[in-house]
Amino acid sequence: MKSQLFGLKILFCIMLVIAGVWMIILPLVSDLPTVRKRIENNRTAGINPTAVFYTDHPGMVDIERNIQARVDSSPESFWTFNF
Amino acid sequence: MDKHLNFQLPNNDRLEPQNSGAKRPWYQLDDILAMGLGILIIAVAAGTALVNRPDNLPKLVDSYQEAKSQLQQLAIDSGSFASDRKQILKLQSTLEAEMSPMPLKSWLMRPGEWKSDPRGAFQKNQKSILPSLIATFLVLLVCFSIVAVIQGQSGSKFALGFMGVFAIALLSYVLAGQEVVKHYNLEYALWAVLLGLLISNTVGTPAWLSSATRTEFYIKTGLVLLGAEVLFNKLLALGLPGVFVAWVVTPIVLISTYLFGQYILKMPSKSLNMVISADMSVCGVSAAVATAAACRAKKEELSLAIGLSLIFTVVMMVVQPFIVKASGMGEVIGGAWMGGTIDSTGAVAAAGELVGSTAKDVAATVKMIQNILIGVVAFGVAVYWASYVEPSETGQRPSILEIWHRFPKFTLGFLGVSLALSYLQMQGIEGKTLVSSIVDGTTKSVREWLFCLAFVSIGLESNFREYKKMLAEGKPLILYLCGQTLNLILSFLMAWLMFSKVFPNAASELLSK
Repeated sequence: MKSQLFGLKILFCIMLVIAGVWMIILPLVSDLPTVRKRIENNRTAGINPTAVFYTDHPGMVDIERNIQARVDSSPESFWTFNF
Repeated sequence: MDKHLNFQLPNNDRLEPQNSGAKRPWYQLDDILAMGLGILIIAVAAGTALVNRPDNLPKLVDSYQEAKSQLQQLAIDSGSFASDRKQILKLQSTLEAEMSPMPLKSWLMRPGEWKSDPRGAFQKNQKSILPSLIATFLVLLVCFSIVAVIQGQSGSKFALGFMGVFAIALLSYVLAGQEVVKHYNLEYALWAVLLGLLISNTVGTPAWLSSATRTEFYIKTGLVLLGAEVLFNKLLALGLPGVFVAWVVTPIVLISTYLFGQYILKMPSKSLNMVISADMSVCGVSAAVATAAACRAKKEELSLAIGLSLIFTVVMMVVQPFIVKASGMGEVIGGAWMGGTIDSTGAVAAAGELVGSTAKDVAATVKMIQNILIGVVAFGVAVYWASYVEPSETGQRPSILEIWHRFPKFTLGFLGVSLALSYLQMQGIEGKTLVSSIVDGTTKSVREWLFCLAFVSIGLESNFREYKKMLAEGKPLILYLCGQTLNLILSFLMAWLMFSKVFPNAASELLSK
């Protein structure tokens, strides 16, 4: 029972730290010029950096279409020969 | 308590009826239920997409074909190629969107991006997404409660636990949605495991919550759904050079790293060795999940491999673009190199964009081709494990029947779905847009939620001491570092060989405006 209460206190403290980091520190970090630039670049290019699989990436359809157009325009360069 | 990702040997004896000693009937087996549920979700997605297809579909198909011929004509007449091509590509994109109805998409969502106010995660285009999140919760709750009841569990107890596990998964998405965290690629998988670990290692996972920590089932159902995204016809997206960079180097690195781990490092766990090797050489989190399920790795082994992958991905997505630019290796070779080595697609695209748009396109395409490899890798690992690794542990030569008994059957569902949707994708633009409706409209969102629930469950069932033990001699870290070094060297050599010596015209074509 005593260790359960101790665990609860630890959990509460860590949750407070998480809230502080996410709601105070990280917003400040996101305003740093280099970080801001990176975020804006990704947004402009339609990139979701947390995409795990290719289908999770919102810009993938356009990338595929763009590459496909280039491969189709010169299949012999890519050795696809309309497979 | 067995902690392996194994349905025949379940980890949670409070939930699994077969632990009482009686063999479960076939319809209660997780592999069968995971395949059934996965295929049912895909069928519902396909049905709603077909019912909602536009009435003018034949006309849209004709317009699409016309745009395609115009694009081919432009390739012959290269005069005003760049601007005209962009216009036609945009038209194609609009037509494809019209042909791909996604009626369920707005009901299956996850929290979005925010900066300083976490409430921003629950809004999209200034509209609340709470009704969609509630709908997502209810859909998953109903599906998994039915499975729990079929397996002889109490539906109400499961539902209570599921509310808790879903709430932690939701919180993981909110943490991952903070813009700095998101743009530096610290994915939900990391926060889901850490939040679960935090609870299990402070107050302990309460019994009511344990009733819904179904790691194996969430993973297996998620993998069957992932099969819908493993489309083999994308293999030739970048022609033969893409195949060489993604499909020749990757298996060499995977096998070499595994052998290095076994014979040089003498890794104490074969499954940990395999999961790290696959996660590092193929495509990070998704490959780790697929391989861990195929070789019945421990939950802690899976989360350790994912943790290593995420940490190195953050480093590589920042460092590699600088190396590409400083060395002058060019956008095509640099893009192929980054695509073949950085673990996740989002990080690959972000790193490629720092070099240039061609680098981004090449890098993301190479990664996409590599993603397709996980179907083959998961199946190969499952066969190898059932035929050689598990029998060698018992010292007996197994019969075909024993191999079949040990074989994780859900991989057949994963591969079957993958082959069926690959075939559908090849049936012209109508097939392609139907696959898009199924995947982008439904299965992708469900699969992401299932993986997140699985990672929360892993955290809730794990202990920090296990990680301390695994990391004691630093072998997992050494394995990852050595394997990734080999990956970096071989991927660069192959990219250079393919795009500058064997297929130099391919590189010129990709760079042409």
